[in-house]
Amino acid sequence: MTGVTEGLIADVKKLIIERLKLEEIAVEDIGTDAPLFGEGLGLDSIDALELVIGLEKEYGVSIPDAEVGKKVFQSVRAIAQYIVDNHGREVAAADGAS
Amino acid sequence: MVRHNAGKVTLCFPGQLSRVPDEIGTRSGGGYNLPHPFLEKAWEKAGFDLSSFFFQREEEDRYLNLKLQVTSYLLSMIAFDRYRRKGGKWDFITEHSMGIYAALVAAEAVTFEDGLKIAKGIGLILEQAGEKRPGGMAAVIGLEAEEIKRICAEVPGALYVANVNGSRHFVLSGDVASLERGIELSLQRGAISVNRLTFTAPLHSPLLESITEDVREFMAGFDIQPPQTRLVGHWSGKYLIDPDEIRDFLVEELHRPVDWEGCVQHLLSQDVTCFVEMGPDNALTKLIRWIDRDVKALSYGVQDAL
Repeated sequence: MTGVTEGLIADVKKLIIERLKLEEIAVEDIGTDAPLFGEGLGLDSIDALELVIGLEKEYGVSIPDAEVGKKVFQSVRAIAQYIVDNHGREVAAADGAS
Repeated sequence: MVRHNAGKVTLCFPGQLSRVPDEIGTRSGGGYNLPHPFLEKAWEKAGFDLSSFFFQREEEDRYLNLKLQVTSYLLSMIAFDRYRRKGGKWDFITEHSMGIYAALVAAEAVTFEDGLKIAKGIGLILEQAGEKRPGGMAAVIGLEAEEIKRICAEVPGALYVANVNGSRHFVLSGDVASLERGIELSLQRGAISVNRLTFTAPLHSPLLESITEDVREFMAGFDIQPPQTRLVGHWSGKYLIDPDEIRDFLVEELHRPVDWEGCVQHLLSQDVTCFVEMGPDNALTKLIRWIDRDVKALSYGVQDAL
């Protein structure tokens, strides 16, 4: 695990809540390493599409196909790591602020 | 009070569930332990026990989709009954795919008993069509409309767009080999997910034109009244008003595609600001969220009714 800050983890959780309109869920309710689909938050493929768009808009990173999506959407930490590995544009700003 | 704002409210009746809800199938049944009058009627009139998820007649019980179809109808009706009893309001009713049967009951165009018979009867016709000429359906998420059309055109056999659920959410329908090729191509072209649905018949595709006469004959025996709420059909955003027109809709919708996005857009143009999904799932709610992020969409569910 490299380059993933607590700030980025919190931002990814906020993105999930905002994108999926999870009005009754707070950042602290989402486990950083908990599965997002099936068990855990119980997200589905329509939610995955929302997250793909959210990641493109917020961080400029794209999910090219289902295989990559499956790996990236395993957990909040996996999403954050993918943003770092793919040079998501807000990472530098987030690190600079911390 | 269920109403959330001053705009208009639409009740949305979803199509067939893709799986058995967790609360169901875990209890012993046989017509006992049915906590809602609709479930008692399902046992008496259709021989279906929801709590244990089985039909009395073995030749019906072997059909998974038939059971899912009747289950979907019952759960939508229970959600609607619960919503109505708690004082929920609505201005429009709409539906997705096989959700039309419960929507017709909610709009007072057919009785609950007839809705049950229609849902089961058409479900049986579809199962038999699937046995004679196997087909299937798959939800493709992430690709755009042009790519989906290209895939359908490239596949050598019969493959069609059966649902336009949103700008990047489609359902393909076709014969088994064509569907498998369509799934493969969709994944190769960057779909975020492709899920094979449980259907064994190529619903909402021209391949089902072959059952038109069977469905028309079956529907002839039912009394249909003009809906008492404005009822918006799923392929055109058009109001279903006349009983003969509804009868035609029920026949034709099986071989015509669902345009859910168009239907929602029409309702948005009618000042609808709140969509309430009637059923245990939230698939339509999520599709509406995709179509318009600002509109209120929620699933009412069946929580304390089962």
